[in-house]
Amino acid sequence: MNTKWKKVVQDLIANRARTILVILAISLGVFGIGLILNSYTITKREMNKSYQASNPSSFSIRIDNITDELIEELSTFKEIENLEVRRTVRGRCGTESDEWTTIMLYVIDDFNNVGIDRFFPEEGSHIPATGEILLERKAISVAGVSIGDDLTTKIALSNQQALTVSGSVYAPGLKPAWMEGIVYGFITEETLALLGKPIENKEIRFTVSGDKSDEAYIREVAFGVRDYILEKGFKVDKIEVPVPGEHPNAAQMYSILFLFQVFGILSLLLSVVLVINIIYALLNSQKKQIAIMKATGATNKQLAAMYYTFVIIIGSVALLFAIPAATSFSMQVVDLLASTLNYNIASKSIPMWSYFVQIAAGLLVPTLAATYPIIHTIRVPVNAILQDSGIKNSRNNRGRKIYLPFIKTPLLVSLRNTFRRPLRFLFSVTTLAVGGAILIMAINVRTSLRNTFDVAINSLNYDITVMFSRNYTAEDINAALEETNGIKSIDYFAGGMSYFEYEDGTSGNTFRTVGVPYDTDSFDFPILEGRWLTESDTDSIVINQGLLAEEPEIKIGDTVTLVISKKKAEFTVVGIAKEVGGGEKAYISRSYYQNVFQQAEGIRLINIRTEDEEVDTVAGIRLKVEMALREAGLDVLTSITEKENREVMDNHLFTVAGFLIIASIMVISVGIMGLISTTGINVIERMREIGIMRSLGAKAKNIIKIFVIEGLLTGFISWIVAIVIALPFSFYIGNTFGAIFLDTTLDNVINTSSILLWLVLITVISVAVSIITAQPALKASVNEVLNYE
Amino acid sequence: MSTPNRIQLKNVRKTYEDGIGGFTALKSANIQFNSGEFVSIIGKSGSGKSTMLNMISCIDRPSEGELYHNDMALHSMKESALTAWRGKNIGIVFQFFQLIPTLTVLENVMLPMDFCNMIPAKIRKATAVSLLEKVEISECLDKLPSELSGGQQQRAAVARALANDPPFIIADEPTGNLDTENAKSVIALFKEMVKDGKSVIMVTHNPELAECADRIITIQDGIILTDKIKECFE
Repeated sequence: MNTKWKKVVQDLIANRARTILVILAISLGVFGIGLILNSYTITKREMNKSYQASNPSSFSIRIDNITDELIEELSTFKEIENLEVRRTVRGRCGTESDEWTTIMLYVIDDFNNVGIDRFFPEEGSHIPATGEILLERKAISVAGVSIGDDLTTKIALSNQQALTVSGSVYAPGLKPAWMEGIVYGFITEETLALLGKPIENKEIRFTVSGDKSDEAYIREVAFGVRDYILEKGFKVDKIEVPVPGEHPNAAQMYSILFLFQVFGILSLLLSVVLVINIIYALLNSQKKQIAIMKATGATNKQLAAMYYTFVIIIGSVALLFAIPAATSFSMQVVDLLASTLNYNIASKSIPMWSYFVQIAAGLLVPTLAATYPIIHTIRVPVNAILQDSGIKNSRNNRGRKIYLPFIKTPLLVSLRNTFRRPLRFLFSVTTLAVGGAILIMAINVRTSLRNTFDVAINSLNYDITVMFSRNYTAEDINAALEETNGIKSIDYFAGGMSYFEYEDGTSGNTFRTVGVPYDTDSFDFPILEGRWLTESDTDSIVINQGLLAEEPEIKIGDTVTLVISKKKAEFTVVGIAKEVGGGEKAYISRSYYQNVFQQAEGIRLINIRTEDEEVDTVAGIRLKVEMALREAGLDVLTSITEKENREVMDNHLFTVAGFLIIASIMVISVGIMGLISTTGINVIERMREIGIMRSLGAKAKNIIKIFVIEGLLTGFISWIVAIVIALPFSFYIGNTFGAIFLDTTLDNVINTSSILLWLVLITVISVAVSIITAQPALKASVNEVLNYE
Repeated sequence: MSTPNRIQLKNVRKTYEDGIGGFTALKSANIQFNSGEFVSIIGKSGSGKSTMLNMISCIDRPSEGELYHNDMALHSMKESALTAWRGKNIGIVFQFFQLIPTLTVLENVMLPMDFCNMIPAKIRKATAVSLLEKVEISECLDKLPSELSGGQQQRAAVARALANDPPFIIADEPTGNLDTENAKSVIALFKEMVKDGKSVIMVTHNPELAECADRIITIQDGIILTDKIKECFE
């Protein structure tokens, strides 16, 4: 081997500690990229594949009554590829305890012939017998049962009935049961009859024959079908056109992948800074050798080639660790996402381009990072290096002298050394600051998300909400609950499914409109724009941000046409409210609602405040309320406590919070490596200086003290910089994440604990790293240290 | 014998900027070095002798004046061309040996050959071994510099300086870090090199060692005070 290349290899071996540090730094960067790319591509591909396998409906229309004749007529439409009637019944289910959970029952006519929104048998029987139920696989744990157990189920206006869980199915088109807090069950017509006379939601699900990814085309077909149904005299309750090909959990997936991207890129950035830092220091320590080589005839090109080879070898070794680690870890992430978001993975194959990107990142990024240090170092004049005694004494130092008369000389050494090499100091501070900033951001985003949910829960000033399947008067409801103890107050609301009709005669998706008494204190939603309803409001409407995301063209002051039960009315948009977890809703005056939509005194929803807000008491009162209403003949569609609402939100938070913890650990590791490298380099570079101090009588503790103070000073300054970086970025990331996840900005808060945590960590790490890295200079003899090359 | 060579300094001046007006280390130097000469440059610390050496070896550029190798104007050459020129024409011996610590003695000697490609690759090792034999440390060729004594390290450095068979050997205080015995033996090596037709230009502050050369240049405050040519070797 040519001696040039032999030198490259020997240098790698001789500087083992630094070589390992650079390898680790690059490995972490590549690992981050690999993890993101692999997880992203596999998750997106498999989630989509899994979802498409269910043959998702292009749109669905809920009708009050469905006749065979109508189905036959609709099936002749050339734009319709396939259609199926799907009936759903909402109810309650539970085991022996008093804990009840919402259940959504899907009534299937022919389990062997489900063509749209298919589900697939997993365990147990494929077709439930009469009195049996198949549960969605993720709903089994929500229901708290096992296959073979009985699940007590009750639907409105009926007595409870025990159904045997005979098997489980995988339904790719449904949101994860654990996340929604809903049990999904599949039963036959005969089993439904056992449960009683239900209030059914009947809907027709359609697939279009044309381009299934063209939303405009699907919408055109859907509204054409709706008009036809309306002309036939049927009542259309709801029309839904989901975003074509988008899984119901797409928002969760995209929000997690967004965080993956942000923290992955930041980790890579951190690695780049670290690589520049270490390579710069490494080349700096080789300055003299570079000068000798130049003096013996080495050209700049030859030297650049040597050091680029050096970097490429390091990058290649890093790839050997990073690619398998990223591959293996991304499999774990993919499994975790698939398990939490409920989809199947048919293949975990990673596309070749992902490997190419990782290889490019492992070789290209360090090469680019090394370019400045390499060029800068090999351009330094030979004589300038050869005449350098190892102790810098240039005129440039004069400007950075710090004169503090009351400080002892060793401390002065620390203070001056910290700022001695501004570029090095900048690198050290940047590495640590970016690491700290990411940690602070991760914690802040998590806290902001938590806070957003808290604000959302706190904006709902009630303990139990009950929705009826039809309208009742406030008097009827009041009379039914008169004997129920523990109720402090009840608020009454009108409501129904509605949609906007546009100027061109087309319509939007359906959403719930709630008629609220102007003086209600049930809601205290933060107002994003405009205002809430007032006593004098009649045709004013407030929409929530979920509906705004569906209808992004709507602005304050716009006039919209609202359709409820075939009746139209025009409203002026006066406000946009922030209602996290509320889906798409609009709020109008209750009295105006009752008048304009001819539902005099019609109440569809009540919010109950209990005297005792203790969780078990509230749950007990809810059961009593349901029983009392049922006994009075009032048909309850759903009832939910504030605690259950919070649980659903917590479940949504769970996956994101878990990811943020992983991201933080990764980032802290890079940050610690940054500190180890900078402190280690600092010690190595000042070996001769340490030797001089030792020859002058400095004890080990004196030397350590100098490095510890330097480390602490750098750490403290980086802490300040980290805060400056983290605060605006926390808001930016939080808001972007919120926009994807919740259709709104987060209620951002600064978690002061995160800032203090990083201060504590940086202090502990600085002290530990300074003590450890100073050891080689303390263990060697004074002579060895003085002659250290 | 090599072909005659000369390095000529014409009105060379070197000023270092130090932020308080600059410091002139070499003032209008006019001097010529010829092949087959053993030249010693003496002077006190800070007199400008190392600066002159840096000018001759082109590891630093003059602030003013001209520098020629035969008819080649070195002062106007680009850095890359100067590096190539230096590799072919100048061998440098440093006070602190400056061997590459991660390479063996043999590899250290082969390194300039690999950079300059003047010696065919096939015979580089043999050439390096023969140079190490010449400086009498062939038994150390597989050792790392740290395993050698100071004298051995300087011999290895001399062998390295000879690697590409340059006409000029520049030595900056080559014995400054050696005991008397080793210093004498390095001087003896230089004398042998001169016999072989090479020029040795040595900076020293030791008048006794300077007397070993056949031409003695004295520098003071950046000015060449004397340029004394002796009649024969001692």
